[in-house]
Amino acid sequence: MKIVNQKLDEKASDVSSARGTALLELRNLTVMVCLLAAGIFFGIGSVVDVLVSKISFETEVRLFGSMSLAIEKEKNEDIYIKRAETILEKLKKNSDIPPLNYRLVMIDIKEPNAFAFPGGTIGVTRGLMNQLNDDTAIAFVLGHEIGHFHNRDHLRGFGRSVGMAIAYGIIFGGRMGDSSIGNILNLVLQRQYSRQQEDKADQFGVELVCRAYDNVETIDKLFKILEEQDKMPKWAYMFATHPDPKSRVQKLKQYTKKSVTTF
Amino acid sequence: MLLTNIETVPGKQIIEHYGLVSGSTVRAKHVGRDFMAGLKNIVGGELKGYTELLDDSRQESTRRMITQAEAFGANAIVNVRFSTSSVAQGAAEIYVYGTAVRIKE
Amino acid sequence: MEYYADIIINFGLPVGFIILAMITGSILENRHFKNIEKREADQHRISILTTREYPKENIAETRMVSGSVVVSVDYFKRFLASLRNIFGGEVSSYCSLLDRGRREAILRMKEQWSDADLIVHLRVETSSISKGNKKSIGSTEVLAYGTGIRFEKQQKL
Repeated sequence: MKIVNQKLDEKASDVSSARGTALLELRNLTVMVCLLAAGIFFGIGSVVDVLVSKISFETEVRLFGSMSLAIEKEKNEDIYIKRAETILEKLKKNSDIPPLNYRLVMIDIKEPNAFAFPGGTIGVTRGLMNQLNDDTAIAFVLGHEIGHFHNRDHLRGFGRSVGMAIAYGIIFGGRMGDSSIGNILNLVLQRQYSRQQEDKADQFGVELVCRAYDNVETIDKLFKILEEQDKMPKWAYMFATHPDPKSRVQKLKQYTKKSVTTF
Repeated sequence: MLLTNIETVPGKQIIEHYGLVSGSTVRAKHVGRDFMAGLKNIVGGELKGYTELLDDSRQESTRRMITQAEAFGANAIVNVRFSTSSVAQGAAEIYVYGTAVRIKE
Repeated sequence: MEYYADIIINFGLPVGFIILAMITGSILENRHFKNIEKREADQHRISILTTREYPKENIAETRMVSGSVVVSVDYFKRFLASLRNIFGGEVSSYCSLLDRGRREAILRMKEQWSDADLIVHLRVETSSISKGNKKSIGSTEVLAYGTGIRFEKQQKL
């Protein structure tokens, strides 16, 4: 029996070791995850858009009426709400606004914000109502939310988040990949999308207010309030749902100019 | 390259022993397959995706082992053993090893 | 300010952690591979066969030898593996882990009795400690064992 003791060359002894491939692997996987996340985002987005376009306003009220009833209504005797309700009545005269069961709800949060819930419920925060002491400004906020109803953003947002949760649960479920690349990209895409929604809702709101009230000058006051909120640095807006107030204000000014000339 | 899982190559004479050669790989199926396998698990039966995965992994690690044997100048590998482990979830880990030898042609 | 904190906690920390793990992990892995190569050269004298055959003459001593090691991957490689799991294909980050583990175990087996000339009937077993626990994947035990033989001095291999 002859035993030959040879030395393996480095290439042969490292044949299964995958040495030094980590960076290449990282690059490939990053590209693949980005493509996958973008594919899911746009795929689910278009499916939801098609589904939402099939749901009429009547169906929406039927489906989500009970859901909006579940939202607490105890603060409704509030003077702010009373005031906002009169403004809402005025806006409702416009034939463009979707036929939903509009209700106003005060939410006890300091941060100024407003929400559109499926079925026609508009939530405004106490912080917002404390800041807005002008009817036009309140009208604009309400108009903006009605714009969301008009564009079905609340339903789309709902459908998207459900779809995304399912898709991400299957794909990234329980793995560490979920907290990183795919999620960051998804967030950025989501923000971009919702910024477009906000722009459209702004446009709708401005038009609505311009039709209901004749003085566009008071809207300038709202612009000032919005500009004062501008405390975050620009890069942070990559992650923020609402557009940068400055660019938002500029866009709004353009809309108002258009609206003034049209109406 | 001749592979056997016994001590010798039947009918041939081993003239030189070169020593241990091995190859290994870790492979995974994409999530779609994992998901389908999860569903299939309910009714039982063959999980085709995983059969395929293990087959591929065995082939790949055998190929790597053969690369090592070729570097020795061997023309056969005797006493080949496969071993499977599971460190990563849903991934197949195959290690194959044997003794590289030269047989009289 | 809350905003910054949020962004940093949600994205900065994991990314920073991954980069840190990537750098330290690759340094450590490289060092381990270098170390393995050096020891493999040192222990090269001992031949290993997986067969039961051995030269029958001039046997001085026989002893069973074994070596084992538990190795684990770094956070970065675990992250890569979790992404690779989505698309399928070779999980190269675990390949290097298992390769390191097996070579280390075989080296330890050789080092256990470095007077041996030959190890026959080598068997390599791999087991995972954290099996079934999803959160702590990536550590593995490798055991290598065989029968070592030392020949009388005049025996030439």
